[in-house]
Amino acid sequence: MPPPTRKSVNQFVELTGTTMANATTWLSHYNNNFEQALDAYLSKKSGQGETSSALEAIFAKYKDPEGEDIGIDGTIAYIEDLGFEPEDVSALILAEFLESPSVGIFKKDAFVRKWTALNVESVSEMAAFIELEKKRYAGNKDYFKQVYEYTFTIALDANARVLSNEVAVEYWNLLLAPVYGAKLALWVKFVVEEWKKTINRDAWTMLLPFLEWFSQQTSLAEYDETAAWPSLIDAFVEYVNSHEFL
Amino acid sequence: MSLPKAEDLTATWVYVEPGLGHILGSENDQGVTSQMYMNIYTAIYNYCVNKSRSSSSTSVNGNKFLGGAEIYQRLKEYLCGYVLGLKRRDDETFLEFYVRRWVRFSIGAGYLNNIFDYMNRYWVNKERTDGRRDVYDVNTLCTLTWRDYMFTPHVDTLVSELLAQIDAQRNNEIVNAYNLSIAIKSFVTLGIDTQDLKKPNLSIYVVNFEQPFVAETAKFYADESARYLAAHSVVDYLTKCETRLNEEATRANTYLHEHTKKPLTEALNKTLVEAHTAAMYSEFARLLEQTETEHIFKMYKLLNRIPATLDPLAVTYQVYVQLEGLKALEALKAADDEAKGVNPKNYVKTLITVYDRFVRILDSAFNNDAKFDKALDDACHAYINSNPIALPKPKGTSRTPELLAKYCDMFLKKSSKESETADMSVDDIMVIFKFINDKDAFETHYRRLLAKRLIHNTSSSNDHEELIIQKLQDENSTEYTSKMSKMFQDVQQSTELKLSFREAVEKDPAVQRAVVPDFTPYVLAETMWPFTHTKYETFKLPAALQPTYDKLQEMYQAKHQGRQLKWLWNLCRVELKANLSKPGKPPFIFSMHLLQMAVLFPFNERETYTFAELQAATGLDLDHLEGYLAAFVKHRLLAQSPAATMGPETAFTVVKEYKSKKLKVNFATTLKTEAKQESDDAQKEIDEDRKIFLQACIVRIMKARKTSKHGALINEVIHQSHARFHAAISDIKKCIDVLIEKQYLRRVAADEYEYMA
Repeated sequence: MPPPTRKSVNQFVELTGTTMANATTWLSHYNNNFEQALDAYLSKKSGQGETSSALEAIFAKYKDPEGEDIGIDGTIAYIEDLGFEPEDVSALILAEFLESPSVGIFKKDAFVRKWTALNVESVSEMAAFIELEKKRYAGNKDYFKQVYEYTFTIALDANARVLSNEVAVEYWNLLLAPVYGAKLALWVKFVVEEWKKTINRDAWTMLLPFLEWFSQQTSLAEYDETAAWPSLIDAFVEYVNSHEFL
Repeated sequence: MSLPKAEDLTATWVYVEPGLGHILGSENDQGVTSQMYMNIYTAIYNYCVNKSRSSSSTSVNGNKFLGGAEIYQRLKEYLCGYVLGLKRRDDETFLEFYVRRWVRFSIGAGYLNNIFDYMNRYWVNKERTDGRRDVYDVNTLCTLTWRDYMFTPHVDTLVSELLAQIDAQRNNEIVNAYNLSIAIKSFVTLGIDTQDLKKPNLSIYVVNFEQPFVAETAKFYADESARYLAAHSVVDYLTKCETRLNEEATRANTYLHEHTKKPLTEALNKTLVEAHTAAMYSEFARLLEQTETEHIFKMYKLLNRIPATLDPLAVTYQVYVQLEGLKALEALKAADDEAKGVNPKNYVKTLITVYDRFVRILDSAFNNDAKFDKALDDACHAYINSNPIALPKPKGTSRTPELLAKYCDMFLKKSSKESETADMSVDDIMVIFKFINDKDAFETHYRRLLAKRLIHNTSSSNDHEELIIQKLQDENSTEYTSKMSKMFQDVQQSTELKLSFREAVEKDPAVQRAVVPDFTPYVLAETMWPFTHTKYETFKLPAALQPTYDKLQEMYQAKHQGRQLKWLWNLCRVELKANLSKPGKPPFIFSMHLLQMAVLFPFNERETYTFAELQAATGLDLDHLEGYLAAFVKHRLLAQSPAATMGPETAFTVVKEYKSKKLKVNFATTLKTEAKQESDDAQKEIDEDRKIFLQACIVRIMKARKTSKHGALINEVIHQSHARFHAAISDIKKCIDVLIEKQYLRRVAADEYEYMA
């Protein structure tokens, strides 16, 4: 699914007086169906104004009593109240939507801003929204990629630039296994048994287009090791070829 | 006979006509007297002048009327009749007749032209200026008459006789070359453009002669070459072609118009060269094998007539050179002692022998043709860098740079015997250097060996050392030899240091007694020299050396404040006097490493020590101490007890009298672990330097370009590193990975990077 066109975003802004960013969010959320997005926005709009205090109350409920943000305990409680499992893609979709800087942390600013933009003010509405996003995630490759790439950021430990291969494998299994099945399993086998080292952002990012290409191949014969793939993927191809796994 | 009346045309013509026959050379050619010539000239002149004058009043538009039309018409008719009346004699061929008559007729036409000079100048000129294109000066009129009444009706006979003559000449019969030449030239003369008489026009020559001639030639040589090759060898054919082509060239120069050279050459090339390339190609490999340079040169010259036909030859040459190179090295490998490893001299000499052989062929058989030069170059690159000795396993690093560096070391080292180095040369080194892909690896290995020559003072010739550095610099770059040059400087400055140390010591007799005589310090810039500093933290410098150590430290620090001296104990060498000779004989001179000496020093005090005691005294680690002791035991300087194993309690006793025929004994022992360490270090240094170079290279390129596609970046990096080494794409990619991780670069698309400031 491509992003909403500039024209439809402009039109949306003109009719509703909201910001460009909001308009984009609403349109994306309704798969660029302009009328549905407009209806939904306008039907929500009546309650605007009080939302912020309602949202603040929800945020306060989960906030870490010691700090400014929702911490790991609050996150677990919040996700449970939304009706999701912590080890589910929904949690990553939520984290991506609320611009979580790291696993188990939600900042108030993004929380209030993002939900206000949607005129959402209750946990049940939040749950419904995330459910819808989950459907979009399953059907929209760009959005899938966006969540996948964002996952690297939130999976990083504080101040780290690379992921341990255990953490990376865990997230790959969660995000990519449903789509790429056996080919992802081969990749995971390589990372665990052969590579054994950390994963950097570039390798993480490029894995997705590689798997996308690989999923359409029966072998790796067509792989071009001189192309721009990161060396880690070259090493994978060599590993697979030398062990004749395919 | 008096002149006719000027106004009477018929009388004038009757007067003139018999003379015309004489001039043109009618049947019994009597020639023309000058009287006759003058009379005819005058009669025509009078006629034309009179005609013009008498008619001037009748001129309509005031233009002057010029006489000549009637007499011109008469002349035209006369010429036509004259040419038609020429008859071949029974004893001559048509060609002979044609040439005989044409020559005479042409001369006559020239005279005739002069006789009708007045008419030419006034009437003809006027008519042509007025636009009449069917009136010509008399000479041209003669030529055209010849063309229309002699040439055109008989052209087929003429051409077929000409071709028959040429064919006869090709079959080595003697023919009248004069006739051929004159007849063929007449084709050119007859090509007159009636619109513009001055414009040369080759259409008659080309259509009537050149085309049939070229076709006939092609046919002749197609037949002959096929027949000849069926019965003779390719080598004979090459000679045959050479002869034939020379003959054709001579023929072309003698009778043919310049214009024919091109189509003739094309026809010859096609039938003699192009049609038989396959036969030549298949013979070429054999000629190469037997080094039949002369024949190869003939083949080269022949094929070079169509340069594209040389391409397969160049490919064969390249493959052959490479195979010969590999074969020679295979043989060397088989002959060599596996355990001892290859002798660098034999290796380099083998490489050069193959190169020399084919360079000679390039020069004498291929005229140093660029195509073959490149083929040789590529082939040499291939077998010199990759062969069974350089690369025993297909993946890995070529050993050629290392072996060449060792060859240089043999050449430059003092200890090498003269008989061994006599046939080695700087030129040999440079020949192979040129072909080495990994120039950086050579530099590293060379520098390591150079370092040893310099600090151990084992270089045999300073001139050669400098010459090689200079040549390497010329061939590569100043940067390439910068570290080596700095090393020479360090040695130079160390010599000065040695002198000032001596001076300083001489000022104080107490110090002079305490320091080591002949102390030669080297102070080396750490980053330029290939030595790694090992601390030997527990090592105890023998007390006898301490004053020397202290004095140098003091002197150097005073001179260069803030510089730190790190002592490379493992590289220090010593010579010591050993009073272990038979009574009355001079003492021995032992040379060894300083660390080894440290092991011997305690024996000045007592005869026997245990291993543990020696370890405590020297502070050396187990490996070194064990290694050195084992060497001394082997040289029978120390006796070990018990002899079988070495442990802390093992005792070592120094012999009372050392037995050796030589007075000077070299004990210098390089431990196996150290040797292995050194070669690992070299490879590590090369790999590390390459990574740094590649990363710097990528950053430099990206800084300039801001963004770049993957492929373009890779190509540029390969290009920029070519003079140092052949960068593998996988290595470049690893460096890109590192730079992305370090955030010098960012991936902006699947195959595009951006520079991040």
